[in-house]
Amino acid sequence: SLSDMSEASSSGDTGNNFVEPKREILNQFDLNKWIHSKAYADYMKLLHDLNDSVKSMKTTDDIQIPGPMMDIIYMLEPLRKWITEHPPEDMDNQRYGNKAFRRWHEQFENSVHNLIISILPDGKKEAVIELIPYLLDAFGNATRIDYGSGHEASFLIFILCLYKIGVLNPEDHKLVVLRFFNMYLRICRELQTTYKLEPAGSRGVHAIDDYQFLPFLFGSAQMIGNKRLPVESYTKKETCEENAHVSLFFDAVSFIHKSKIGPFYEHSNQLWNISAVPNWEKVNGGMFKMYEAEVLRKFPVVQHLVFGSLFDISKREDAPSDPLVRIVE
Amino acid sequence: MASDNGSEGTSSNMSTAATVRSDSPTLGASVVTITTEDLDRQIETLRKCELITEQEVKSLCAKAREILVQEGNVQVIDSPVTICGDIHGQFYDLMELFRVGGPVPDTNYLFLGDFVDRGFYSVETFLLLLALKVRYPDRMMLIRGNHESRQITQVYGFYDECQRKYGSAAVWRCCTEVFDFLSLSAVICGKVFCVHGGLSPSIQTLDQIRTIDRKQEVPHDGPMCDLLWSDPEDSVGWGMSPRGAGYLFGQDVGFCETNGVEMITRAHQLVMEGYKYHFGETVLTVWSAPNYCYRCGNVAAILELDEQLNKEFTIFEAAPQENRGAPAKKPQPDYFFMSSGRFMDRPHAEKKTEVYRIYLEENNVLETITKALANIYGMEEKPANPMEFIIKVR
Repeated sequence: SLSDMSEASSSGDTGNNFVEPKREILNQFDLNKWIHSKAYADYMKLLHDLNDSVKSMKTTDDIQIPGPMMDIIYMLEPLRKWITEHPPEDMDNQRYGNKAFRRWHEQFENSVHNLIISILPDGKKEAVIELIPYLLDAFGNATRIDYGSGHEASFLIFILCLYKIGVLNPEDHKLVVLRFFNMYLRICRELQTTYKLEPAGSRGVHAIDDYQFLPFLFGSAQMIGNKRLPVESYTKKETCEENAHVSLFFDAVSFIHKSKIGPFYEHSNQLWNISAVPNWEKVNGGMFKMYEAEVLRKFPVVQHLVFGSLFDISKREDAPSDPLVRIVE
Repeated sequence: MASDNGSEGTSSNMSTAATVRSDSPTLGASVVTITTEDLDRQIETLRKCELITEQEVKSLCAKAREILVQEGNVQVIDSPVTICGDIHGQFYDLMELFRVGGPVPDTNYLFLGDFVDRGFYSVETFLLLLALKVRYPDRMMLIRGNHESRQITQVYGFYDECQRKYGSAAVWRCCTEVFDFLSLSAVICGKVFCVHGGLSPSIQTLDQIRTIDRKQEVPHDGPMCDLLWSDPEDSVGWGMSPRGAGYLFGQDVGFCETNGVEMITRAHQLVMEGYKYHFGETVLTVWSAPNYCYRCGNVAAILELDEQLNKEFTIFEAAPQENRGAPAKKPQPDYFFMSSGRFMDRPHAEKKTEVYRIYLEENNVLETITKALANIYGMEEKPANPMEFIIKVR
């Protein structure tokens, strides 16, 4: 049972003062505060650790799932069920996204507290107050009926907090990427398709994808060392479909091939360009740089992030002390 | 079609000489003359989705500013006119729009902003609209969208596109200067109020809009921001916008009654059917980017108002996929550094730093400048990495 899980040795970091997270990035000038924060470093470290854990692994490889992890992976299962309970409403006079998404989200909001409590061991249940906002914001915005890279980041922050309180541990990395995050992706895609979620803040042809980024990041690590599928092979629809099970990357590109209309080089120009990169290591390395530059350092995305004791906005020790540098381009 | 606004507003709207910042890329270009032949030639080039030269862009932008500076924050427009929503760099779909709506100058047009970002051809799209504006100033009206902004275009692609197509940020800087001069709204025959986003709790009357000093970057909040960012919502009163800027406004905010207008026409939000009424028929959203992001499967719409302000919507789909040929693959070097070891292949930021370093060292000024800057910024210790420090404060 969950209460058998051992405490993380560094649980002293988190203390017992869980707070309701709040926004800290209120304007362009606060970007430096964010970049120099503990939260930023923790987030990047997590991405690197998760990334490295799945190098050269196939999504369909056998991974043993201990009991508690099973509960965590399947905590999201009800979200999928609720989609069938709230089918799309008649479009009638609606603008674009289907308003049934708001019903789905309402049910999710009403249940999120218990969902999270069910995976927290005794002694850690107070953390729920910090965990709720991150999970709640991971599946799109109910008012705008949209979904974007900030929502995906919110889910990763939820995962980060689970590590911080010792509910997840380093030996779980592979499962977190290839099972938990994968489950999350499937639910998001079902939401995007069923309710026609608008691509929130999409960068259009200048981004890799309208909705997700991390499947391309983790997925490219999975492809490292794969001789059968060179980088350029993902430009072909059939190759992606046949190999979607191999890596999150091909799975994600396959979804793009299915949802977008027109030639690949036009609707996915960035992916077209990246297919010229000589090997998967370089793709993977480039993905990290791109993610930092185009997601984490963009105000329209990160203005919505909230911070608490686990995802901590305070400055880290090794951050440069620049009292003066406020660059406005 | 457009009336002169010489009698309105405060002195901030009346500066006749386009006041240009001393670091403006178009400094000295304000006394430029562009001939009609030049303009027609540039329009022909842009219509083929080809680029005009950087120098031509500078002259065009300087000329455009001279025209736009005379327009008011609430530009007065006569009918007939065809109103268009967001374009977002979808050049070939803009060609479809002109095909179904009629060519300039036979048809009068009002574009509600968001010409750039997301699409493939923001540069060609905006420059064509601008050239048409300069060529036919009374037939082509352009107002500002929330994407006509330095900050937004650095996130959503226009900046990157300018860098890629022109090799520097000069064209982007010219264009963003023009954005500052774009009008904020329009009113057609005193009856139809047109704005990109929506309403503001700080604004009850058109006269209040006229007092705004619009010649600046879109602010983070306040009335000018709200006009470009707000959305209508099925509710009452004012609400927080989930976008992080602007507000949600409900049916009852009373703007139409207060100002004697019949309808508010705006864009800013994707519509599956191309256009959509809210609150009965008092607010209308028009969206002119078909199959948005190549995935949304929506149609686009334009609204034609005749002399009597009768409304006719024209719906159009994405332009047919002509075989435009696959472009060369160019992975962004700042991320996917292909590492041939040559200086020219290094990422842009690295090259820039190296060039500065060589220049400063050869002129024996690296030490002097570092000290001076450190003094100015009140630093007690010399920065550990002078080049990094200089680049940052530059």
